[in-house]
Amino acid sequence: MGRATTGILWLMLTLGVVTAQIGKVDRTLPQWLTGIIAVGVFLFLIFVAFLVNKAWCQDSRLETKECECVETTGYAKTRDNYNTSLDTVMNGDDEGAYENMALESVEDKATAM
Amino acid sequence: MATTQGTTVPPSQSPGLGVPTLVTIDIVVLVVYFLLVLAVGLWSMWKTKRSTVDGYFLAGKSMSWWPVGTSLFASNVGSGHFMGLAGSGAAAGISAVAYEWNGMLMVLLLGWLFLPIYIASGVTTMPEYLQKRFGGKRIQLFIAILYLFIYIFTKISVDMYAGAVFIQQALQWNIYVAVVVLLLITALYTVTGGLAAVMYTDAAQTGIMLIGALSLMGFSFTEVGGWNALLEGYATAIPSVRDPNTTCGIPRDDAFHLFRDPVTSDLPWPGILLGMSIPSMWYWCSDQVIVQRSLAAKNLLHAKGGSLLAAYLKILPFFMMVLPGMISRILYPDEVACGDPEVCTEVCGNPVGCSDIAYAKLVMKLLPSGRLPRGVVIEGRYVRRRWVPLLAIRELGTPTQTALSGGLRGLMMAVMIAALMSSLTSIFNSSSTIFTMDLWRHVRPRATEWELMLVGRMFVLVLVVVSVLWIPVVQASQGGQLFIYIQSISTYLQPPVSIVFLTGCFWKRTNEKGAFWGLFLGLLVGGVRMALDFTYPSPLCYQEDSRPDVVKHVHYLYFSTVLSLLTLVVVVGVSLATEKPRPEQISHLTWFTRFDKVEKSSGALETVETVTSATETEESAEQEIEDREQEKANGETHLQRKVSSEASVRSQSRLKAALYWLCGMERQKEGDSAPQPPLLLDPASSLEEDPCLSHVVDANLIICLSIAVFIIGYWA
Repeated sequence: MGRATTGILWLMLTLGVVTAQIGKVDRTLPQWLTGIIAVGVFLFLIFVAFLVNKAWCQDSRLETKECECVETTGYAKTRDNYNTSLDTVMNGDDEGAYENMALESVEDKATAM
Repeated sequence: MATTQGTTVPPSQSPGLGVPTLVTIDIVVLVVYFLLVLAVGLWSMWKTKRSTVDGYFLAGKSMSWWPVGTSLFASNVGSGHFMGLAGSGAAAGISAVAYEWNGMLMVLLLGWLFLPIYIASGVTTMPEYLQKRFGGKRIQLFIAILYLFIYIFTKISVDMYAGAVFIQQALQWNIYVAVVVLLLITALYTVTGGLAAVMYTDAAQTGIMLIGALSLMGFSFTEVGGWNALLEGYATAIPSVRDPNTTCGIPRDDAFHLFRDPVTSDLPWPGILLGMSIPSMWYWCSDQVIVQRSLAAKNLLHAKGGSLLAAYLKILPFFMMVLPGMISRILYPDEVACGDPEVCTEVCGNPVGCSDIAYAKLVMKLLPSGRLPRGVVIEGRYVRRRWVPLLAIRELGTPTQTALSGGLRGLMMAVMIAALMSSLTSIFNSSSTIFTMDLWRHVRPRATEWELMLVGRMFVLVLVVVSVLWIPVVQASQGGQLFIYIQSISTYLQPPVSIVFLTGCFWKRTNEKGAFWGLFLGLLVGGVRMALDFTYPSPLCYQEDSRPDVVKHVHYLYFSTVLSLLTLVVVVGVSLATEKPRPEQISHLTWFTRFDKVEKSSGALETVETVTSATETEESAEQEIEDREQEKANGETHLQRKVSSEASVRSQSRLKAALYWLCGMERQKEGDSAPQPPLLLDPASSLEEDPCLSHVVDANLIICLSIAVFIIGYWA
């Protein structure tokens, strides 16, 4: 809690320093900080989308053989052959509930060698 | 392209540079540049087979990622960019770079979202894609004519104008002679070599542009005194002659901000996010010039790699053009930032403003040419037959002449010419593609491949003539706002087309009627706004704004957003109200159906649908399969070409044969069939990617996007 307060106080100090400049458009944060924050938000969104895509693809593969998992702009695209091989490696214990023999065989068939 | 603060320089009036400004070393540099470009062009002619439709217009679909990426960059960055971005930087700060960084995001969108669809559909031109997707002929013809109109009246004209300004300012040559010579040299390899020659020479020209522009950037930063000097000096770059009652001549407060006030500024931030993205999406994702380069790639991975390279290169214009433009204002405020109409007329002939000369001014004043004003001595001596220039003695009051002399100005000339030529050749080739594949084939559906190749080459020559014809227009545009109007043409005409492509690619329900009426109404509304803009020109800095409210208060970026929404509503509404599109109009033509298996029968039917008789359908189907195999066999080997050319020599005169080889056409085969459709491979196989490399490319995408987000966030 102390750190957060210190952080906020530091930010307010910067604000104070910055607003002292007259005649310029105020920058409440230093430029590099806005850049870093923007990148952080962006990477977080990508991460969320990646998780959503994995969860969604897992569900739909149970029904169809071919998984046309498509993420929105700019995210890593998953493909049938690569997806299955990756997931057989990556599917750890957390998704174990969904794994069954039928799924295993489906993945085997879908893997294009 | 950024709209600058309305200046046109009458090329007939040369602002005070009476002495010839290029010395021998500069001429040598220029000659070397031309020889290099010609060599690359001729080499690429050897390398690719250019006598087929695919070979001439799509470089045989054999390009790797680096020519694709550099060609994307070079085709986009023309001489207009140098003038426009630097001029905008001088006049209004960094906001114009939003176009560039928006373009970064859009070119990545092209590689990842749009290109798989285009590859799966197997088209060569964008109107062809619309024809396949929506059926019928009217949209295809409409769009083909619209594209040709946009190319001739906006792209060619703007680049010719900017090139002419630079040539007149810097070289003092007769503009007609200079342009005709330049165009003939480039037409030589464009006509004969096709897209392959254009792309490889674009790669060379990108290299030259980067070297020259980055060195000028270095010089200008040294001159102004460093990064902080730029940030602080810009606010004080005020001309000495100005009207103190107005703000004319004073640099903007938000000059170093990308996102500006939504109501009162010149580029409001909601407009940048929405209103700029849709026209930008048109340019990068559905414009023939850009998409054709990506279609020429070997496979999807190479195309994505090319997009990534182009995106990384698009970071540079900020540093190469915008910042030097701002530095130009700091160094020469009385000329570049002239606030008084009389002073402006004296400096550059245009009372509105002279920011357009920002870049040319830097080149002429900063880079020494070897001819210095009196009182300055430059010494040098021959060392082992090389001219080694030594320091020039500083004359009081002038900027320090840096140690390197001569050759640099020639290099900058080469840079400007490279920018101009790379854009023009790309436009020529793509216009020729659209004309040949869409318009000519509509008029003559049974045209043989031979005929199409001939027509394609002829049209490039026609465009060369058209480009030369723009010069008198450029010269007559003294003091006018002509080129601002021309740029506004594209801003008002692009959103509807972009929305039609977007809905066509990503919504299966869009049908022909929806697309057509959306296009028609959107273009109508855009045209109305365009007419209003022409009738009520934007006022000069110190004049009162007496335009009607709808023009005055609705910024053109907001209007672009509204226009896009309107088109979207019309397309969706009409599509839902009318019948569904047929399955063959959806299969492998949208994002969701791009992996559909190709049905041989429907494919053959579609491609011969212009040929009426049923018997011919079967014959040509067989012929297609034969020709396809022959095409595959021929496509690879140089030997095949030699054999066929040898065969032709035997039966024709040698001169004819040489002419045919030069033009890249093979001897007309008897019983030439209609050109076979692009190889209807199973789209899944053409969209297949090596999983490991796909991983690498996707990771690179994340990195590129993060960098883009960072720099946008930094300058927000």
